[in-house]
Amino acid sequence: MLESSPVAIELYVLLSAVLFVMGTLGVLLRRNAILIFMSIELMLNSANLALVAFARQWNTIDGHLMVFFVITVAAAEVAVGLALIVAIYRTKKSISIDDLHKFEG
Amino acid sequence: METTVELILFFIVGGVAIAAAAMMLMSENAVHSALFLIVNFACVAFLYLMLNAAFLAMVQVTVYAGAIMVLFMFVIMLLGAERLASDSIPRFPWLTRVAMGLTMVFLALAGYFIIESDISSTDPEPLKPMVQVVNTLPDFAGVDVYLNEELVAEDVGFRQTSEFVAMPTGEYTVAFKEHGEETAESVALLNAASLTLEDNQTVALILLPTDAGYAVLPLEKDLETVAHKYETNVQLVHAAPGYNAVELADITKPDLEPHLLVENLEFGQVSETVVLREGSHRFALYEAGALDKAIANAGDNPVKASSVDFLHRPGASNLKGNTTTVYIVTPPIQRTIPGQAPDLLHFTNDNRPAFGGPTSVGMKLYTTYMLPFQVIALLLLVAMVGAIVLTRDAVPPPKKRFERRLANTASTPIVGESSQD
Repeated sequence: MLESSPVAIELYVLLSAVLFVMGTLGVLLRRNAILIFMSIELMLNSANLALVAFARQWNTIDGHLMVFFVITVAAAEVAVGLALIVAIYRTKKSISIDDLHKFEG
Repeated sequence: METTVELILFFIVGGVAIAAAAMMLMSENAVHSALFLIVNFACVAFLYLMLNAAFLAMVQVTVYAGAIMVLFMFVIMLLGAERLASDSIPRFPWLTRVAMGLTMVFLALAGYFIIESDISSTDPEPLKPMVQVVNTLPDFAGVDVYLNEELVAEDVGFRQTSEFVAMPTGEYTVAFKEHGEETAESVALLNAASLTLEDNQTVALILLPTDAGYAVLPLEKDLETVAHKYETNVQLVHAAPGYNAVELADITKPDLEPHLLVENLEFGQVSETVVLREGSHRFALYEAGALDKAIANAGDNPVKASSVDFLHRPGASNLKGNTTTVYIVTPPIQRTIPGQAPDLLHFTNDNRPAFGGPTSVGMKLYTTYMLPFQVIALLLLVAMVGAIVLTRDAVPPPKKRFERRLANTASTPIVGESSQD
């Protein structure tokens, strides 16, 4: 049986919100496409933290399964995303998102 | 005391996680960013451990901090992109301030609602009570059991058990009727009105015959994980009305003195849980005090298990680790013969897997979430093919090569012909 958590679930959710906001800032402010990708990973990870915290609060294992699926989707997304970055770098010689809009086709 | 330690740990690890995320955002070098992100992932894995998510913590370290970040590092090094695009002037200078403002507003709103909302409690939601039915009524081929007119078990045969059913908490009246008879009135049980189900309870309802009719004996089971995985729980229930108190002993080694597990169990009583080592065990049921008497009679001679008069001695049972086995003393099948020894019936349940461990996650994954699991596996396959298609070099169209080979094969015979000429 789950015992009561020594740390309030609220604190975990707050931490997750802070990490999510930092990830959003990274996506909005950084110009390097790889860093934008890493910031998206940070956001996914913070959502996972909230899911695990709530799974413990509601005493169901379903939240853990969601996290499992999110991690899998993140792995697939990273594989395709990095392949795209490599393909773009090959033609444009740059991965700055500011340079990308200048090139069409 | 422990609470404050964990709270301090949470603040340290959470602080490191936030600091690592900030450093990731601010460092100019993409390799440093990736390394800080790994630190952040490790901190989150630690928090998963604090939240009883042992399996996910493991996956977080291996898949996220391991595989995914290695992929990032690989691409960064492959492209030589450590410092690319970091010093270019942003296209929209106002974006920084707007983004900062918007995210701070979001954070303030989220924080306000998280603090104001009702999620501050630390106690996890209790589990719903689980009910199962054990039928020791020899008069019926199969019974349907109702709790307050709600069917909880259908067609439970004699000496059989039903699956666990989750029920809301509350007071219940237990009734049953023979399976397959549409019109038959349900038979109320003698002491049924007293059944109360509470949160976190796991109850086996043992239906048993009495001289006056039928009764139900609620047995509260402890299905928590054993301390050691090689251990198994054993409980004894006396459900044979009209029989004296009994005792249960382990006689796995027949040449040694029987090892007493449960002593002096009266009718309607449930013994304490006895923890045994997993493996093959032989038990013997004695009348209460029979063993003491045998030891007293033997004097200085050693008492052998085979020499004590027993009431019932079932064959060897193989007890698996992390299970709970309940032995039920039941009346003999033919109740008409007087002086007959009671019967011993046993059934085994797996203990509840530890929350967040690989067993609990795997069981859910392969039952409820089988279809999403398959879909996600397919998605990974598609992503793999997609990555290959995106990154492979433009190969010259195979048609040309085929034509060239055709031309080669066509030219040789012509040469041969010309030489013949």
